[in-house]
Amino acid sequence: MSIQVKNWSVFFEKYPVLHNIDLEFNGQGIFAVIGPSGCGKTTLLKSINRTAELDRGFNCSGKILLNGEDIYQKNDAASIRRRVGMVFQTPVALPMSVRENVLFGPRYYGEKNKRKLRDICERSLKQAGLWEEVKDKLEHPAGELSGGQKQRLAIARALAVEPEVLLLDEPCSSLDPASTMLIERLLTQLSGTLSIVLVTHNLFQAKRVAHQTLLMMAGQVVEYGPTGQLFSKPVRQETADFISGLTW
Amino acid sequence: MISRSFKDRFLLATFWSAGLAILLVLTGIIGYLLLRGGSSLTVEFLTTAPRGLPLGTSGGVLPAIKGTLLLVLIAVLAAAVPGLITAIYLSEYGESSKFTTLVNITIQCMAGIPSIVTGLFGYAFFVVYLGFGFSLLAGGLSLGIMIFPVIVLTARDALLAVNEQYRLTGAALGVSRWYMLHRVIIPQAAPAILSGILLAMGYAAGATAPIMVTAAVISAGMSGGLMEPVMALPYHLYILFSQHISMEKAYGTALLLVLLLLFLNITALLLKGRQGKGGY
Repeated sequence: MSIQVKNWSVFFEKYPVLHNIDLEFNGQGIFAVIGPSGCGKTTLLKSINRTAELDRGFNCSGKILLNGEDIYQKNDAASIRRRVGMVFQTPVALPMSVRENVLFGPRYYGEKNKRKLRDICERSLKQAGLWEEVKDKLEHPAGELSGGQKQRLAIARALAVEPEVLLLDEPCSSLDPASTMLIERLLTQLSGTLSIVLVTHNLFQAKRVAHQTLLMMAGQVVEYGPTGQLFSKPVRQETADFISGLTW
Repeated sequence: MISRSFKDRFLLATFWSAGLAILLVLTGIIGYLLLRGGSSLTVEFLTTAPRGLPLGTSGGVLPAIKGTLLLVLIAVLAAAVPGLITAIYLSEYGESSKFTTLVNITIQCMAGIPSIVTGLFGYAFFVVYLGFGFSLLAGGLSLGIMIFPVIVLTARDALLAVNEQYRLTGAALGVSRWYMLHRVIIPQAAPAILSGILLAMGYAAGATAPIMVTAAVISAGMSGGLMEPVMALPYHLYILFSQHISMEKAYGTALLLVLLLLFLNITALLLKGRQGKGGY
């Protein structure tokens, strides 16, 4: 799946949040977005599944293309959101069982076949690395899971509708180091079959898992490229300053 | 350090005595009613119609109990569904348009309308204009108008109190708002919504002004017909003591009414405590 962002600007009311963003991310792998707080990372992420427009006063110009298709052309945001899954900063367990959390999307999209639903549940939980821990308590309330488990449940719920892209907004910021490790390993595995865009505050995380990294500041792209290169031989002075910790 | 801890203790004592004062007022009212009306609260009182001359000096209040329950039932039937729809609009679909602000202000104002004014409107509109006459239907609908804003406001706040992250999660899956509402948001808010409806029912059961000009009479049979006038507990109480018919029966009626309201309010509180748990 290729993601192309062309001359993309976002305003809330009159305040500009993103200015003329241009970038291209091709194929599988993990694309990390780093930058100081309030630089527009989350807005960029939410632009890719058209959830940014749910916030008040949203205005945009430019184009975002998924496999060449302009996702803002059609009036149908729901179909885009189905293809582009998203996991939030705070782990969200819907107030229902573990199984129903995973099947929330598939049931909405009309899957009724019990065997298929069972398979989707098992496959998604396995992909999210949660199956072994919850296979005997699928009927338990999802609220009983730990923070790290809830976050993997959120990933399983997103994977259950078979998205082509998975967006993650600082998925580990409320998790302990062990859960963080698990999720990072999981993302690396998933990146074999899925395009992943990961917003992170944690530079080490970007360095550990991302194939490509984008640095944003004040709503603009500073630099992006292969992660190793960005961290070891940054082209721009701002990048060098940021990764050495001078400007954050 | 000493002065700070003294200040803390002083404030604590102030708040604590405020709480205690409220408790004393409530137990005082109920205790006094028990003392004066407890003896008249017998099985016969609950199961017979008023008798004697003037009417009410002996016998019971059964038709008034029935009348009050029917009035409340009609009020809730009339107000709950439109109230919920309005609340859902305001919390889920209204965003923050000018129209929503206008609706919100209107409902706040509606909640502040004196109940006798609602009664006057009910009289002019239901009794006279629509030709319902002095009737259960006219009284119930007037009470419905009175409790409508209570239901809207409590239901709106119950819906808004549901974790915003659920809505985002649904949206990110491409799930429609309506699906999200009926599978997640409404079930989560249901205990608090029901609690609001019960509070509104209590409010309707105790209101006298709207029904004294639309539905309630000194004596009515037990027909329960929609177009018939009815007896009602608060109106019966008003007649008993304002006309000096029987203070003893008046206190009995008052006690019964307060117990009914207490029951509704406690049930409402217990339900509200369950908000957001919904079994999970």
